[in-house]
Amino acid sequence: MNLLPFALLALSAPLLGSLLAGFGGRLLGRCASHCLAIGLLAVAWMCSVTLLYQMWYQHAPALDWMGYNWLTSASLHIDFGLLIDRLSVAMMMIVTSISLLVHIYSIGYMHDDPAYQRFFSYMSLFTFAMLILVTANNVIQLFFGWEGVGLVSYLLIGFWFKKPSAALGAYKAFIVNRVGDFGLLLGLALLLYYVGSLNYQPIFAKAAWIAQQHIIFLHGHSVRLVSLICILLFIGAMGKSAQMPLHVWLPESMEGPTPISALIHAATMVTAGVYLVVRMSPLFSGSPVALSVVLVVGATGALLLGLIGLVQNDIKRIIAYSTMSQLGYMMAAAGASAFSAAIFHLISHAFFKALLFLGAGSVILAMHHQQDIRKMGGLRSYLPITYITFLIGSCALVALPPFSGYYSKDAIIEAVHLAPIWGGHYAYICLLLGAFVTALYTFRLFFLTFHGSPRFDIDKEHLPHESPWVVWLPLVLLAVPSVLFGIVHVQEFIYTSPEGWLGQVVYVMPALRNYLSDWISEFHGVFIATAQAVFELPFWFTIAGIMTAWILYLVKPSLRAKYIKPDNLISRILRAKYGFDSFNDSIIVRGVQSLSRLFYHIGDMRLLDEGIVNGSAHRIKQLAQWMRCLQTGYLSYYLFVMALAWVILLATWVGWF
Amino acid sequence: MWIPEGIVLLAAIIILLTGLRLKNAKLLAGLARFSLLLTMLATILIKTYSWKHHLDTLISELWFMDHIAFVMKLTIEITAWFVLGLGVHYTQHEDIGSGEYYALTLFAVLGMLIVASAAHFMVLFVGLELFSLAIYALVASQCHISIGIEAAIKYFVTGALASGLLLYGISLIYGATGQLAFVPLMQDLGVIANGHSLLISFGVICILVGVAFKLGVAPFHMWVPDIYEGAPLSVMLWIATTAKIAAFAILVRLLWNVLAPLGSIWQPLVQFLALLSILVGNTAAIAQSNFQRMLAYSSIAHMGYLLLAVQLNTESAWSVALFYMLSYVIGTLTAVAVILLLQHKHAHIKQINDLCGLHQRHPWLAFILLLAMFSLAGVPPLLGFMAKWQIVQMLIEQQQIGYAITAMLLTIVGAYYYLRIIKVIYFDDLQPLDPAKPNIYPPALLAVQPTASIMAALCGGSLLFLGIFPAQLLQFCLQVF
Repeated sequence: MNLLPFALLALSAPLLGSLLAGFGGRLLGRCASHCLAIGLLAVAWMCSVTLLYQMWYQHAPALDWMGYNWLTSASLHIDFGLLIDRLSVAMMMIVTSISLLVHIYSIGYMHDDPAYQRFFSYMSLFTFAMLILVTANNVIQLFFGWEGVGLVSYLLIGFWFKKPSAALGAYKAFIVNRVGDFGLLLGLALLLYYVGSLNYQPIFAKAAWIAQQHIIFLHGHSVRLVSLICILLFIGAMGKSAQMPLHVWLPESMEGPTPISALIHAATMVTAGVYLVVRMSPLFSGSPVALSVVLVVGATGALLLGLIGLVQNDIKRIIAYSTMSQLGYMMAAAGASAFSAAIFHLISHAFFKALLFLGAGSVILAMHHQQDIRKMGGLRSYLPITYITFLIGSCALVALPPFSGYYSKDAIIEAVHLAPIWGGHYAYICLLLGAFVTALYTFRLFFLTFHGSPRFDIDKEHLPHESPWVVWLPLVLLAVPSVLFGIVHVQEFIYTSPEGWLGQVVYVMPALRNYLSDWISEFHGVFIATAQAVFELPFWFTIAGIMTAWILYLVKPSLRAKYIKPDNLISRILRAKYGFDSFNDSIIVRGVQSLSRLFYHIGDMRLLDEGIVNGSAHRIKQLAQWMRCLQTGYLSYYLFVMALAWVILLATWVGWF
Repeated sequence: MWIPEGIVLLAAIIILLTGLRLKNAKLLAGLARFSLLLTMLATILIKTYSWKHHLDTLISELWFMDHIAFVMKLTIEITAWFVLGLGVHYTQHEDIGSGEYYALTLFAVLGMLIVASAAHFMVLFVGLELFSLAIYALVASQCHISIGIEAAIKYFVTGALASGLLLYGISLIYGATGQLAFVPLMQDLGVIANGHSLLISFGVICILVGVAFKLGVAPFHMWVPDIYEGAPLSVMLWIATTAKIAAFAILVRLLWNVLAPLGSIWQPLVQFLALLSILVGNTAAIAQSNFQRMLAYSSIAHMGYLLLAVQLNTESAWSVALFYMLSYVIGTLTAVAVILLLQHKHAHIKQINDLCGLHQRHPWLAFILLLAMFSLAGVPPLLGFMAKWQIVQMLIEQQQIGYAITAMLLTIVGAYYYLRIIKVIYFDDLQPLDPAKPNIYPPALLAVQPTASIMAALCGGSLLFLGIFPAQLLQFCLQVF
């Protein structure tokens, strides 16, 4: 069966939907716009389903399609092409599913917004760019999608651009991502320089050769080329996937509409960095250093960023910090070469995190855009569907068996535990403690929002009520995979071979294959694994976290006041978010500003404007005035000048001068 | 062979005689322009006749009938026709459109035609003096305005000095070679080119000074701004266009048809004159507030660019110089045509600021003026750009990259004062006629002048058309030399 038409259709349908809703939105009206966008996205979703079916059940071979030559410059050829393999199909499936549900959800959530059509246009455009990113068969096309999703993310964070915080958040997201993109671009440039091509196939074919190259830096320091490339690529991934220290933009991105937070800043775009690392596994597997960096950065973020979630009070920001923490888990898995576990966690996380965000959106709708959880409480009885689905999402997030998060996260922690690479033990401790922290902040949020007594002003006329069906239907539809996805698919996805279901797509360092084999051999079927949970540390850490949250926030809130001083050192550090923001503000932003002020005043104003631009004009004006003075108007003077010039010409010729 | 000149002479005498009695200026102007049309026709007919029958291009060592003569004559005639047509209304309300004005004009044309065909120093000198004297008188045609008289006196005295130097140079050459006719003289000079004497060098330099004065090239440019400012506008246009073509014809005859073998003497001097002219013209123009003075310095700069091509002394360089001359003439004609159309008995346009807000009053005239300014500044896609580009290309081909860069840098300086006109007409507000009465603006349309308006539009249109399709004109110029 030819997969290409489906892939092309899946790519073009959201683009068409975006163009129609964007340019024809005013003409079509609200209903027709969202129907078209959703309909075309459903087409893309069905194509993805078909592709996944072909890959999963029919074991169709990967498709590497070279479309056409887009650009040629000397020996550089940049093509438009598609690579449809197991990894890209899995990503397509996630992107189109979540996007479809978020589209439907937005009908309800954005109902009163005047820029309704624009919103749908942006979302479809985002889907298109994300699909380009995951289906590209060369790095430039990936970069196009990468920048495309970055652009739409900027547009959507600043969707309510009249709100200053939204506009600033959009700036911040864009600028911080530029830092990451700089690394990514340098990595691509190195690849282009050494491989001569930017298509995946030649790059991976030369991976072994790249692994043996060294480049000499200043003072003769020799650096392994592959490590340099991988770390540069990982800097790009850090920007996109909000890894420390480039995570600072993600909390600000919560200023965008909530459906966007679910789609872009939880389920899809932020996982692009994980996708990049997994896609480039043949390169990363050539560099133990790069793998260790990925592992350590990911694990550190998983713990430290989760901790910040404990002191946040905005319902969306808590989930945002949770997202960063979970992305850290994925990165740690990729660093431990458990690529299939990383992707598996990416998928299950997409489901339950989208569920949590959409649930939070439902709560925000019910609370009339109040986002502070200290002013909520007792919403259980008002929002029954949201309550149940949110509970399911929370259980999945804290990795309680048999929810999907358990299987993915447990696999990651186990893999990192066994991984014989530098930083493995540290990472294991981080992830283990992270399990406790995750449970604590998740259920703090849950209890404060849904349980206890209401802390908002109860107005008998306007009681919080359940959202319309377009809002709760996606919640229910997302709750299903949040429960079932792990238990159904984990065995086939992760535990079939060291590479897992991804198979040929990823490449594991030969030295690490043994440990991965040990890792999968400890798995004896889904049900045994579920039952075994009680014998494993992460499970008890999770339970401890839930219990702590239960006691501190529900049973005996007075304990909090007694033992946790609001101004103790730890909570001050956490509230300051480890000082990243103030560091950026005071050192980087101020530094750049004062530097640019220096250049403006000295370089631009003084040197260029006054010196060169106005200065030369001034000199010429003076010259003009001087020449004007030569024109005295006296006839005798004119004759004198003529005669003098004549004499000078003659004298020049004779050689007097 | 002398039919064109004969027609002009006849018409001049008729106008001189009838003008004593006949006070109808329109009729006189019509007669003058009709005679010019006939001259054009005669020039073309004779050229085709002699070309068909392969007649000799040289008549008794006195008179050239070659391509250069034909092109120069035709250009002079067409330009003269335009200048007369554009000035009809202006001369009427300035009370200078009497018989002697048109007679002098035609005598000047006669002198220019003679110069274009001259193959002998004496013929050349007679033609030169004929048109120079006519123009001196024309400058003073408003004999009640002192500035005009002053300009005429200055022009006459400095012109006399220049003529004297030219004649002195001719006599030196004659003394050295015993020849006055161009063709044998050039052969003689070709023989002695390497071993020339001081006598010949001095002769060449004196001749060069004389021609440089006529072209208005620095440092022999002092007369130009005063005469441009003092002369009536129609006479100024005359000096800026037809007289410049005639001066170029003299330059061609002397430097190309006579002194070409002595290039090593005059080429460095012409280089010097060219660069000095570009510098002086472009920078001094910035300080001007009077439109006519600004055009004077603009012409000085343009003659500098022209000389930059001339100093290369190759066939193609002379062709490019001719092309540049045509572009300059059409650009100046267009600019002055707009100003002439705007002149009014009660509202003279003298200062640049008088053009404020022209766009609001006369959008079409403002647009034509914009075309002229852009062309003179050398902005694509107008003719002036093509001309400058040809010169720079030629310089680069001849390895004179330093000159090319200098010329272009000074062009940027020059762009300032052209763009200032555009700024004034498009972005400045309309100025009231009298500051005391802020609501009274100059009359919307001064007088309906359909012919002159069409002529101005034709000039502006040709700047654009020839700028976009320059190939034919360029090809034509290349075939002349």
